[in-house]
Amino acid sequence: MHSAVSYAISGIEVQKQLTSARLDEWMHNELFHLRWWFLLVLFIVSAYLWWKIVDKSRLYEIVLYSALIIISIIVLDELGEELTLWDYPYDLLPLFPPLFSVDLASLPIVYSLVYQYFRTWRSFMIASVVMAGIFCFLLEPLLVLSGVYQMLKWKSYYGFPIYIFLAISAKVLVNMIFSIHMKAGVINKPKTGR
Amino acid sequence: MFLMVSEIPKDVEIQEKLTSIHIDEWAKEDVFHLKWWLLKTKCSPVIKK
Repeated sequence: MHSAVSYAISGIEVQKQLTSARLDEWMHNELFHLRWWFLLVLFIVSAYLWWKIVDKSRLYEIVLYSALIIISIIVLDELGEELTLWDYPYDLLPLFPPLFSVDLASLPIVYSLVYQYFRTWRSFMIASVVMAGIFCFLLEPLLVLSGVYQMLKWKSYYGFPIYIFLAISAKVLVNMIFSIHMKAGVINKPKTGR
Repeated sequence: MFLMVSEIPKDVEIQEKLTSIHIDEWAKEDVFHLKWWLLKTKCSPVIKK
């Protein structure tokens, strides 16, 4: 019968094997490969474009929205990797499973631009559905075709409602945070002198 | 070639093994253990020396 200690030891041993395999694979087959450069360029271009396009007058709000999206994407991506639903044969960094350039730059830039330009709920919902469709049926197949993404136990269309849910839930959260902030701002209005 | 679907890397197999260990450990050792309830209710006891 397994004890907690033996589970921990076997878990650590396998984790070491996994880290070693990932480092080995990255050093010998991924680093400076054409796909690695593609991911690096994708990351830099996405980050640059975001900075050029983002509405600086709403920077706090858009950064908050983007941060919520990035956290959700990384958590879901890590979950998918852990459950071997998908895999990224190439990545910028060896020890961080989620696809760095897409998770931290390409997807959030599109989400934040949709948030920036479609301010009413109706237009935002329509844009989010279109965006989810583009992600699932254009971007993901392109990533598969380019060899940086592999679906193991996953289909593109599974992600369709998830992409929409992420957009809506992040907008709801940002609205809630701003609403609380506004109310607190009214209540705790700084006192003026006589 | 750039436009070529690559083979499944060997780390996927190791990842499956690790996930299996984590789930097994959680199901048999962690869940419903006293420490798990304390984490869940965020009422960890203060140990006085």
